[in-house]
Amino acid sequence: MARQFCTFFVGELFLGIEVTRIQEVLRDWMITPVPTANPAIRGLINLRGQIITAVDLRTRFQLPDRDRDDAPPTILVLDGSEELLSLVVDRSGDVLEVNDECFEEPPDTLKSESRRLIQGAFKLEHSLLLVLDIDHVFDLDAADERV
Amino acid sequence: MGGMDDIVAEFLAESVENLDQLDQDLVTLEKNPSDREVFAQIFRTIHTIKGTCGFLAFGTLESVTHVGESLLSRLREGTLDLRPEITTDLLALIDAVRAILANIDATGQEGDEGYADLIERLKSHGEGTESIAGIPEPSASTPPSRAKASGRKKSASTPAKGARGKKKAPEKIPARKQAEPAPEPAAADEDADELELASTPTNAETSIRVDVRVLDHLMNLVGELVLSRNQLVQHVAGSTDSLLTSSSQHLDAITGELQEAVMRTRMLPISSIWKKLPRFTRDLSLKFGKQVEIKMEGEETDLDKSVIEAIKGSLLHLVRNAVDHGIEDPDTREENGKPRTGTLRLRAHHEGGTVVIEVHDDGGGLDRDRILARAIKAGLVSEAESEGLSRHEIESFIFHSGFSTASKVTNISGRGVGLDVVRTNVERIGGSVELQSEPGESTTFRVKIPLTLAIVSVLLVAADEHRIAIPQASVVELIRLDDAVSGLGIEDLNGVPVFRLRGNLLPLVFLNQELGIQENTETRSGANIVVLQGDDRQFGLVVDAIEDSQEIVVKPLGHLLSTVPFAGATILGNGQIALILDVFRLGLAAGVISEARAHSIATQVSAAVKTRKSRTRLVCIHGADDERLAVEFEAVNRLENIPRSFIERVGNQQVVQYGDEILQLVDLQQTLPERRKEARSSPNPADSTTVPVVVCNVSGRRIGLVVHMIADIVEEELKARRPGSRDGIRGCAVIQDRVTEILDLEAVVRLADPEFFDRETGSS
Repeated sequence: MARQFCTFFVGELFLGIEVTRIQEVLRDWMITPVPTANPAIRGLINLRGQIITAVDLRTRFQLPDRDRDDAPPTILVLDGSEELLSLVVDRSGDVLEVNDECFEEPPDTLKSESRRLIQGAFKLEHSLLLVLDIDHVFDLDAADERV
Repeated sequence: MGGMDDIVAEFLAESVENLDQLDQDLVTLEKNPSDREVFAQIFRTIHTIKGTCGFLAFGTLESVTHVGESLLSRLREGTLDLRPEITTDLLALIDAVRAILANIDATGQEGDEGYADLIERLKSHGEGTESIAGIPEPSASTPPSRAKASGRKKSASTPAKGARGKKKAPEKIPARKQAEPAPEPAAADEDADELELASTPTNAETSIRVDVRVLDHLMNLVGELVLSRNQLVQHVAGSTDSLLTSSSQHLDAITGELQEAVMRTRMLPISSIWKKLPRFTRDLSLKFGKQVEIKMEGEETDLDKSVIEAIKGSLLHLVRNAVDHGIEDPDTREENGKPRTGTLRLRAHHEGGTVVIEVHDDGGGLDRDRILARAIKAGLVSEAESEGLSRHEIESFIFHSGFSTASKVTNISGRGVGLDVVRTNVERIGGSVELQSEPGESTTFRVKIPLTLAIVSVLLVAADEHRIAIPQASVVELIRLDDAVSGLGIEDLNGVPVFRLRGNLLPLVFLNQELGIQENTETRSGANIVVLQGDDRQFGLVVDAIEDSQEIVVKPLGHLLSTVPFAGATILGNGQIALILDVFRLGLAAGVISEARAHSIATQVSAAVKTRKSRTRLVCIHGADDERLAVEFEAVNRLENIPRSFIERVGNQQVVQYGDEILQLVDLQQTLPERRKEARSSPNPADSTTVPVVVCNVSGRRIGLVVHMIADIVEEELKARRPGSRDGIRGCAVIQDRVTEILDLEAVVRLADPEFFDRETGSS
């Protein structure tokens, strides 16, 4: 069975979320930082009057922060039933159709915390598409306990 | 099966609502057993639940309600009298129904409890007359009578019943119903129809049920619309295009009205929580062996749903407190020459932009000696210090945590968590609790709460690049320290920065530090202190800049941000997000609230001992010829210097544009009787370009008092009070060794503009 994935980049990682989970993609959007919040929370965004928490995937994957002169990050707003949440990524890629047959367990090369955030990988022709485990990404308390 | 789920959901919502009503009705009925109207109501509710759950195949629920219905029909026929035990069992029946409904709501199943005990007890009440199980009535015989009933209902044009009829109609379809052992004496069914017909139409025909989330969404959208409107109106202001200007004005007006209308949809009458109280009081009074009658006034007072949710617990606690601690047992009451039955009176009414709820009991009042003994024992105050405490100071000890005067701890109240939590909860939403007690006579709690939580008036401050909104309800005053002064003002007390404010030590919290913002090392000139009230403690918040005061729409923060010291966020006119400070949590985080509490009470008390008796805060004003006047601080909103050129004339009134509103000005010199002539000859010194204005609240409306000079804010014990000698003056007192006249603001306004209070308050 083939599924569609919205792909994006965080550092060297090539990641994907199923298209149906994504409500919209925002570029050049203002993020208001929230002092004292968990470091993984980049801040709040104003989406047509709705205030949405934005979690930075760089922090979640324990990658260094973006440089000042890097291109402004992209925000993926996820379709949530109760509360809208969003992810801050470096840039978005194409929507890819992948086949379930090439799905594999997460690669061993990933560090343990990062491994928890990945459901598995799709082996593509030229690259490896990592499937993000959204529930774990937003489980900030568990991440704290580990640190 | 989406349709079925919808039906179940609707059934649950309707039944829960009905059950609350039922509680109230049963208690009413107990007092007045002959009230047929109430009886009909009870019967109808039980009957409806029974009917619907049979159709939805909830067997336990049906059998429980069925015995209840049979018992009720027996009571109705008069073969049985309504005794207190029966009422208790009927109430237990309602609890059982509630528990089953909660189970259905959570799991979709009724749960394992069979309630055989309860059914047995309910049956036993009707023993001996006719067999309760009756002859199982074949369900096929039901539809005709029902159909007939619903036909009649429609002709009576009561949609509430029309809806019920509709819901019952599919009953013919499921075969499940037949499999269900559903014995139903035909008599009960007919009774119900008869009762239903006799009932008066409800307000159901003019109302519909809407999910709160839909309203919240609507509110959100309107908030957005308001922001867009503000941007547009600002943009259009400079335009010469008359068509554009007029349509923007039109949009402006409509948006305002829409906002108000949407706000109204979120309002609920306070009776939505009060109707639980008669039952609640009855249970409590049985438990404590007291006799309590509950009276309610102003049930129709509207409050925002979110406010109602926020104060529900506190209100129940106050009622519990009144029944447990307030009202004496019947024998004691009789000895003291009071009627055996105590009265618990609840009153609600609007007062300005707030709602006041009073919980009054005619019990023994507060026992100050016992409170004081308890306070000394708990180390809140030393014996020596306690000598000079005022009545009010002693009474306020009961709001401190861990304080209970109940001689024994009951499972209802007296666990030491109580009134302090009530006060904290009420203050959290920007309200206040006051207490009045006459020993041997009564105790009254006055809870003052804002009408809505959705729109709050805030003070915007800056901390580095962050914009932080502080609810005005928590702001006591603003202090600006200039360079020269700041060296003197801020002191270090064992590592805690404090500021000496009129003789009291005010602990300081640096906002940048609390928020973990890198402090600019370059020394800033001066400092801004926002004096905040959190819990029972004041503290000063040092901020980078004080920007503006605004009315904002509160938006919740997501669950990932539950630990930050912010209560929510808002969107400013420019689309930027500002965080709303949770003053209480910030105080806790900074350690100025909880940890310091016990300690602070001691210092507060000792300070109070030195300067005891009641003190009043006053804003002192100097008149043109050094005449001394004062306004009570309570009534003062802000002190402003308004440029003379901003003052405009409308008719014979002076007004000034003030924020979003038009502020009417009252010139004190031209208004007060003896000053009139002089004032004309010697107006305010014309050389100054600004005039000092005291912005006051008069009966919930704002006016600006134009004065000669604002001198000082003092806290004084009013000695040698005597009544005023001219119009507009409440009385005289000696303040700072000068005889000072205290203004009666209402009278002053009436002197300046006799029609002021008759005019409708214009909405902004």
